[in-house]
Amino acid sequence: MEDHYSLLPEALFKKYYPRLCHFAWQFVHDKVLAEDIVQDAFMAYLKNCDALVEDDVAIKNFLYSAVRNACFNLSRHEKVVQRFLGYYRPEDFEESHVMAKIIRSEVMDEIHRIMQAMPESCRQVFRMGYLEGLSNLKIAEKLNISINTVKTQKQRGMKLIKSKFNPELLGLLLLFFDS
Amino acid sequence: MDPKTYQIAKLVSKYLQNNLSEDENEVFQQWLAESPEHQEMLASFQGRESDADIAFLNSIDTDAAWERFSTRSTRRRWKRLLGFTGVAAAIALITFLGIKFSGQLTRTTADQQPVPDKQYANDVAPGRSKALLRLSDGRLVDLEVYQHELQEQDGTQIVTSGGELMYGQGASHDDRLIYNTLVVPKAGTFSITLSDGTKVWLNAMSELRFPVHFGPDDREVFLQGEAYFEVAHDVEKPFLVNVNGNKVEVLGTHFNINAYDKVMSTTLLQGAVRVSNPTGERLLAPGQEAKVGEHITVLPANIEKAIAWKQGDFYFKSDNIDEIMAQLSRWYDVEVKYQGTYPTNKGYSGAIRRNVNISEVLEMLSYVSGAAFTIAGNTVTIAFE
Repeated sequence: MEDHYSLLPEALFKKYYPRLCHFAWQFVHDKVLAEDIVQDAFMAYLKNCDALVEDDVAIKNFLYSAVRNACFNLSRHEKVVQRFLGYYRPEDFEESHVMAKIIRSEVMDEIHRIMQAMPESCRQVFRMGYLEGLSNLKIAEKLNISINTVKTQKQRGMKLIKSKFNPELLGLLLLFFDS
Repeated sequence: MDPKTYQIAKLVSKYLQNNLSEDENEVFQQWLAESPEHQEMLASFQGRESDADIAFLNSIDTDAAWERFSTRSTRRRWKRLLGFTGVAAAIALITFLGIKFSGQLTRTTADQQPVPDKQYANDVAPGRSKALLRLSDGRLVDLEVYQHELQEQDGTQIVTSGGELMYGQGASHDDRLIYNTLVVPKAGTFSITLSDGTKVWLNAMSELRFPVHFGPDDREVFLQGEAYFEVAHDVEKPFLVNVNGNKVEVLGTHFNINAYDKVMSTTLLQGAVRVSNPTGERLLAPGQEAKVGEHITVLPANIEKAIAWKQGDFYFKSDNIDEIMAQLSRWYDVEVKYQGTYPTNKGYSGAIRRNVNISEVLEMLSYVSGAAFTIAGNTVTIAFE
């Protein structure tokens, strides 16, 4: 049994970890919980991987199913608390909803990876402007660069994104560059 | 999971990147036209809605996660879920209850389902509805056996059915209080509706002493062990729970009292209660928990954990092995023995239904703690390595 542990390639873990966390998070709305669930799913995968065919879809199926089931079981315990928070939704576990969540996680993961692939300087500006909501001036102060550089970086990022994304997605991506 | 899901995800992703081939576009448009839900889904990727998703993905530290995972997995099998950093806070929550993988998983798993190993030769069934009722004249009624109506000296009707006891309004207007006591043994649970309509759920190894009907001024009961109360509202007559000399005073509310240990804890779900001990008193707001020992401490409560037992669950959250085994001991009526030393400062988390045999719970515990359990008769022995 123990030997399998070394068989789980780091690459496989790292490839699927973020999207599975995102998937779990769509159910449980809690990051720590989501990560724990995904860690367990990989543990279960280790335990069963010799019974699985080495196939991307099979592996994904296994992992997504494990996460969904864990969330489902958890939800039964969380009912009490969630009734107050208004989170618990049984329909979350209907097949079409689960499917929609998988699609969302797969797509968001891809978008996220493309963003990650942007040049570091762009990304930093992005992170501050978009995620932390800082103004151009604040970003310039923090990074010790001129406001013009901030603007240029944003424009560069825009171009990259325009070349990579469908105009319809720009709604999302524009947000982090509009000043 | 339908393999088509991933294909669609791919297409959506490509579409968003403006990168669909003609053939792909055809499939994609077909899917889009299939249902308005699909169009909604696509629209949801646009605009602010995706902010949180990206922020979430950004916050995931995959390298740290891998480190945590590999540390955990290279240890001996299911050794411990405690964070490798040793920080007690990082505790994984196990949902042990059947991770059942769907049938279409793979071609091979169907006939190669791992067979759960039968490591427990002996097993112990879970607790069930049982209790004894001590009437005011001292008679003891076994409520598991006796399923008829009873009558108290003052004419109050007591109805017993399926794990529940109900008190009628009481015929006489005699102010003299006569008391009954509901005794729930180990491996038991019971619920009761008092004459004022208040409902009380008693956990294993608990006792509630209460007047058959209440006096004109207040409603006072005496508790040992653990109970969940839904007190009927009556501003005129405050409801008082006496626990080992401490008091919980209520108007109309839902709350749990756990007094198995020296320190009593009261968890409030709704309404308001006042908790007092000989040294002082505190008012609780919903969502708060009071620990009452020598002093009274008020903390934010984990409500789910506090009333899990009433919902038919075990729910452990950073509990040490002593606390967990004490719960099992009460619910399965088993003795617990430790072989060698055991960690008292480690917390374990997990959740499982209470209606399973003890072996299932022990399996979960063994999974999270790395300890080995053996059952002989009704003694459970734990060995940490």
